[in-house]
Amino acid sequence: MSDSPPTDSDRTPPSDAPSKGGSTFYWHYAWVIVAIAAIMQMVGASIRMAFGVFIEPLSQTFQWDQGDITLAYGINSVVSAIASPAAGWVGDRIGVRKAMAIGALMFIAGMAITGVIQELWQFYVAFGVILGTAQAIFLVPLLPGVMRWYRRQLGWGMGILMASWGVGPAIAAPIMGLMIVHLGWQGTFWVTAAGSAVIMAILIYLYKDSPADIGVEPYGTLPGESFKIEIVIDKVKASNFASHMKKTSAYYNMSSIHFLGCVGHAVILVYLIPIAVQEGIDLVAAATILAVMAAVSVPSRFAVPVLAEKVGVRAIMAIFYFLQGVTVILLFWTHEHWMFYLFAVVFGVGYGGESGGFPILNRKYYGHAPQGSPYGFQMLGAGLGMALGGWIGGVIFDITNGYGWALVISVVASIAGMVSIMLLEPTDELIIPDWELDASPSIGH
Amino acid sequence: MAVQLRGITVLGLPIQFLAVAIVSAALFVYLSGWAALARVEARSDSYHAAAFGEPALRSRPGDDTVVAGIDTEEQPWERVALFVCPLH
Repeated sequence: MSDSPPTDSDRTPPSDAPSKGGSTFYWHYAWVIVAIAAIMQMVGASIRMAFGVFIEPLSQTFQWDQGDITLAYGINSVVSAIASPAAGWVGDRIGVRKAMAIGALMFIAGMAITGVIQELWQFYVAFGVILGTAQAIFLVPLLPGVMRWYRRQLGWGMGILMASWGVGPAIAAPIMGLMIVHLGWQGTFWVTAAGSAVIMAILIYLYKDSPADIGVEPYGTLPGESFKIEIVIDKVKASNFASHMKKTSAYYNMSSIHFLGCVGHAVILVYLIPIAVQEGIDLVAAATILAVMAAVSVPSRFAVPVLAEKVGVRAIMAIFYFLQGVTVILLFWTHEHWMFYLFAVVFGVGYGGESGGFPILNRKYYGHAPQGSPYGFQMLGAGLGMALGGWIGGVIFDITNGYGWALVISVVASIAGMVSIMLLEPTDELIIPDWELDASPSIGH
Repeated sequence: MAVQLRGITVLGLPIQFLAVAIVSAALFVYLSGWAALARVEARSDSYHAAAFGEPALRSRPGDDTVVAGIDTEEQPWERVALFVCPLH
């Protein structure tokens, strides 16, 4: 860690100017880190993404109501959301690699225990609490961890990482379904636990907390450039930054914006299949519509961080929030099979781009400061948004026997998120450039 | 205007964040109360349909039998939701 004060150049958010003799892309271990994070995201989140395939087998085995089973998903979302700030804090203090190891152990234990449950409360504890906590611990620090590896061209790294979030749901559900057919639901949990253990052990072994660990500069560092903000894990530094960061409006607003975005798409993710089934489309075809939506979201997930870095992060985020919100209106007039596919395609574009701007926004506002805590707080907002959006549709359906008001809430949430993004601070300067100098932060911004 | 809005804080929290938190909490409380009332009413209807062959009028003043019947069937979360929501 450098003890020197920030210079004027440190007040300006990092640009995406080419490096390595003008080349935008060149070999660097940062790409391995991105690949590790992407695979960890897919493996770790696979069981939650494919939760729907377990509902029927569990219902048949234990005669549980579907509402009781899906409550475990809700508990998982809420626990994961509440644990996210702490997970970011842990990642900043002990390092991403150790956090990943702790989370991976909890994940494997949670999966194995879920495979032996006999009572509903055991399911809630194993799947809801243990797996929810584990997912927060090893998934939340990952993104800030990847950010440490990039001085420039962060958008490309984030784009690949975000794209993996869309690929996961598209492949996890069919694989889990196939395993359930051949191994049963218990076998699926155990085999997934064993497979995840092997994959995660390899990935954690290959993961490095910072470029300094292997004696290189972050990706995009120009020749002769002093990379002043060192990435050594420093508890005092992380704590000092956290105290300053919590005095900024952006810290809170980014969390509430992520919350709004997640309310907006959670309604669709959870209830698109029931809406389609209500219109007379069979379950398999309805599930295919959801898979199409996930697949369509992949290019958006990849493109948004890149565009955000090059064009302007607030403008790009506002556009994709608008797309996510306005396309939901189509559902009011969607009745035919082909119309649902059309909706999946147009909504998937907006939905895919909803979250991709946040890492870039964090970088623009806070530079190379430890990002675990702000990202964790944003994930708290996202998780609560997913839980609220996922819950709203069911409640409204129980009361009104329809999803109309849930769709209205989805549209309003996305558009409110867009407005909130437009009200954020400009990104042409760091918000708290002097946080390392000032020991007693003042309220501002 | 955006600059002015950005500067407004209440209890140290930005107004945007507070607005989202308050509206969301209100929505959660309102929907919880609505859902709880709908469930209680549905049970009351089926109770009265089974006992008297017709649905109950739950808001009937002074009908202690109906109220007692409903109260005994309330789930704890329903009781909390109806208590917290001022509109249900």
